[in-house]
Amino acid sequence: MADNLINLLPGSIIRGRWSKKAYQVESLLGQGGCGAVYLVRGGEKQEIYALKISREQSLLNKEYHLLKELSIYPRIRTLGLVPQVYQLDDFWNGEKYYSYLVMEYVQGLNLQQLLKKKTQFKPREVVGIGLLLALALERIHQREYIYGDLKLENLLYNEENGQLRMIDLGGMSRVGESIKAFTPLYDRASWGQGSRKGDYQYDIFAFSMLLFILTVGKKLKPERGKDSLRKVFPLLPQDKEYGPLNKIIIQGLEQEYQNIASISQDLWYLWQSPQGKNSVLTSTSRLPKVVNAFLLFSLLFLFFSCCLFFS
Amino acid sequence: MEKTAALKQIILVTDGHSNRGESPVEVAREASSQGITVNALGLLHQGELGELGRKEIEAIAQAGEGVWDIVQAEELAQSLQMISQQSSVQTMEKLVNKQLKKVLGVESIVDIPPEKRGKVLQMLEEIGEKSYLRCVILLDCSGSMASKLELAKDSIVDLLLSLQARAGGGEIALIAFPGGRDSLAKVVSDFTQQVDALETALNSLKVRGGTPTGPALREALSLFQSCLKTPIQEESLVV
Repeated sequence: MADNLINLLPGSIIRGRWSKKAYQVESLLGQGGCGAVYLVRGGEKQEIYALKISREQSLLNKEYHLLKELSIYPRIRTLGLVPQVYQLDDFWNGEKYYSYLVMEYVQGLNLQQLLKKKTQFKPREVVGIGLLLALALERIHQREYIYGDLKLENLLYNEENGQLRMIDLGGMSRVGESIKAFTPLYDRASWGQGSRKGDYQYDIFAFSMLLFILTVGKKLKPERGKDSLRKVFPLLPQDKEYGPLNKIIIQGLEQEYQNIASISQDLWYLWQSPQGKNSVLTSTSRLPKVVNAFLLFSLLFLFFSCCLFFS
Repeated sequence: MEKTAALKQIILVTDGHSNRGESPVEVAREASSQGITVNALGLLHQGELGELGRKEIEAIAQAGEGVWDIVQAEELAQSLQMISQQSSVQTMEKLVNKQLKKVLGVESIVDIPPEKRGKVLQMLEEIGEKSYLRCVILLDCSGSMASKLELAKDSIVDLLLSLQARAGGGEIALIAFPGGRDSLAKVVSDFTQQVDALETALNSLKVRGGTPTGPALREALSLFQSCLKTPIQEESLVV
């Protein structure tokens, strides 16, 4: 919203009303309809953080609590799927009152920027991204939230180590409520494929559309017509290596999966299958390292828990 | 707290400043005093809105105690939904602030520490979600809107989809300004929940003439007044 516009110059100080902590603005990271994100320096050790400012405190409050809830899950933490959040506070900017959120500063290109660079993702990369994203969504659904505004711009991806990070969790809704924020391309109602009521299927459709865009290599314009969704299926690459992935994506878009876990299962099966493994030879993705890392962590965790339990 | 109440909103969609009829800012103030929130969306399409247009949009929203924004025509669908959503949140916050004063002795929500504020905000969102929402769209049909009209029509139908998804539901009425050869503003569709009814009404629209924003707002006020359902009862909101 235009009345959310804030213009903080580098060097200006933000002092929290409740914590009294001060942060110095270094630069503007991004500006959106709901507020702005600044790169700031603060704390005892004068460290770098991302500071999200908005007048819409219900959005920031939701994001703060959700990020805290999600960081309870070990795998979310070890895989760094969401940024760490440190503080929620307010400050008075002379004439207007703002709320702000202090978060971990995460660098990197988002999937939209990467898509522009690469023009297309290989099947194994898409499956890998899908697996990590599905894990985050599974935990979000477990907390009875619907992510709602899933899109390429909200996902940072590190091609080197295959790490995926979700940024911007402010637009979430509780299960059963209407979707609070959406982007037409990923919104099933814009494709005539269901309502804008928040249920798990809503996220599954958006998730599948995201994988579709990564695979096809471009964004589309949604239309509400009955067959407008089916008309775009042929855009998927017809090469043999894309076959099994295409099948999963289409099933997801037709909302045939009951929950995120089942689509995740199909992706995992594809990842593990001989065909999936073979495509490693054609893919430059190093995702296996991250996946193996979390398996190792889980095993170690289990091992130590058993030791503690039996000691 | 389970009582459903009606949220009353006007969303003005325009690409320029008013140039006919009474001052829209004054009518917006009047609307606000009647419990109707006036929000304003300025539309851009390969051009500029102009300083006058921008200032007027801000003034109308401020007088109407609503939300305002200026967006590209392509973003209209999401923006309409966001504006309606944010407007509801703002209305709920204002209503609750009065109750908070009585119950907790604080002036407003922001006087509760951030970490504890969550519960109140969550409750507000739930009450808002369960409330019935009545929204009047004022659609600018002046000559300059020709290139944006199709996008606008589609976005308005889309807003109805959003309102239908709310737990409390909602309905939309549509007023076009100018209304035609003989009227400054015309009620093209009374409050409706039917997508086809709204689509039919939208398809009958034509662009012509100037921008009588004030009269359009005046027409919206009459529409709300003639509505039989009860307005929000502040006393029924218990924190």
